[in-house]
Amino acid sequence: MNGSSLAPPLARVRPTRVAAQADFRLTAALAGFAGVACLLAGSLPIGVSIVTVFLFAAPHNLFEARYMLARLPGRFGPLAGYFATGAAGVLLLVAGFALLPWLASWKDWGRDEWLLGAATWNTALALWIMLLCELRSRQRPVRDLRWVHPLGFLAIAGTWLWPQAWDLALVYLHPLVALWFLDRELGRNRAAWRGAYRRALALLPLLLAVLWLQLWDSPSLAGLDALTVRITNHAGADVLDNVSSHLLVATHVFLETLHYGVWLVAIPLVSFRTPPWDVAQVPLARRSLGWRRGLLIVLACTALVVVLFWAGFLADYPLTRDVYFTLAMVHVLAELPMLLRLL
Amino acid sequence: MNRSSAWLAFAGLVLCSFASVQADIPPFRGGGPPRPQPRPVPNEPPPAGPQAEIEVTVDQAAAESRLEVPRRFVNAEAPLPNAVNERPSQVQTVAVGTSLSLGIVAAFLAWRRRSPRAVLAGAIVLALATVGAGLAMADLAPFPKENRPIVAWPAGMKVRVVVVPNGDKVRLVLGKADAGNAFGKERGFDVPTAPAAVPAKK
Repeated sequence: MNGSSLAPPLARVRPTRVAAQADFRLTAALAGFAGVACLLAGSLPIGVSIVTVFLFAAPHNLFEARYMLARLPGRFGPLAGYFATGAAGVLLLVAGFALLPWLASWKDWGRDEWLLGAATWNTALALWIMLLCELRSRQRPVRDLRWVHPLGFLAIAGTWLWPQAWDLALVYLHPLVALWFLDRELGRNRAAWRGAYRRALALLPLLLAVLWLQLWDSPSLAGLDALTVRITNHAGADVLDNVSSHLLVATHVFLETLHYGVWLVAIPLVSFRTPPWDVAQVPLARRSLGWRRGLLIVLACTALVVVLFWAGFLADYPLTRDVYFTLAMVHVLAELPMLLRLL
Repeated sequence: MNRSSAWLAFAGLVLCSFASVQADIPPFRGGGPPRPQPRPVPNEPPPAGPQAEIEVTVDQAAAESRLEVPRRFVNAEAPLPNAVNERPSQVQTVAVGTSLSLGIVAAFLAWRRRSPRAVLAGAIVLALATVGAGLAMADLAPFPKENRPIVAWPAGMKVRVVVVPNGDKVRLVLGKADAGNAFGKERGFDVPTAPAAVPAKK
């Protein structure tokens, strides 16, 4: 037996082993990041919430805007109606979301009127998603999403019975949407990483279970200052008053940290082929010089808003937090039409 | 989902709705001996509760009058002001009913298309709608009792009853308008205004 007869099998085995090791390292890195995030969120929920929102909340919107601009087609063509519906829905729903507290204050709403307003907004959101699914079902590549309609009406019924539960579901489900985006992007650009990512993703329920087992009977977070109350209420402590606010805030902070990690690290790594400020390869920018300049202006304005938010957080953290989470509804909603197009 | 799975889901729905709707109807016994029935609980009068003092004050800033009842004077399970109201309003009932009806129609249309996910979504909606309807009817009294007011307020006066977590007095806090109309001096009430109404404890 000479050496040349062994060469082909070794050549086959070695890359497989190397790939398996790389796969394992990637899984371990992702799981390690999630584990550390879970540990920090469980140990210091309020502190981690303040720091992560200050550092990452605004910038992740900038990266998300850059990602979405890159994913828009150069010419909308038959998709114009779909994207127009998406954009109009985002603008109207965000305007409604921002107007609700103002209207409540102006009209001196009681609790019932508040619930009515919230349920109406949630209904509009559900109908908008159903309309997008209907429009998406008529596009290529064909994805029949009309099965969403019965569930959408069921969700509307749910929101009229428990509007606050619906809002809370939005708060907790939104971070998970980023994980879905990442999965789609891996399938598109880094298929070899997808297996490792999905294995790490399978650990998420386990980490949540550990977090809940550790904190289910922990005392609620102390502190009645405006910031702590805002953070705990955002996590649902005012709705789920039988659940420890420590558990709620820790869970929310953990999911938000993963969300920020996806948009600030993973998506740029997987999807961005050029630096974020280089829009030359973005399809919309290739239409004309005017479009290219327009995109650069949009990105520059978003970057300026990020800096303004940092300054605002330093000046008045609770107030800026309120403003941020109102404006952040733009990216929460804008993700939906983009995600449906990726399917 | 193939056709047999769809039929299986449909059969499951029928069974599920049958069990829910039949929940309060006594079973058919045929000719067998009657089953033992649980002994009825005697309808005893409720134990005497603590006696409450009533304090009437006027809050010039209050938009409406309110009766603040400390929680210990009422049922311990009574909702606090910030608690979730379990009873849906009429608008809610109409909205929920309309949505569920549309959901059932959408589920039927989905079934017509026979997309596997659509059939599954339709089955979920139908199951929840039928189970929900059966459960909702289970405790419904056939003839609602007459809702008699406990306290006769002067005509046109609206008082919001709120249960407060602490306190040892029932407080009637009158808004500016109600203080003038209902409990004004012409009725013989000398109503102090808040916060002077609360005497300093020595």
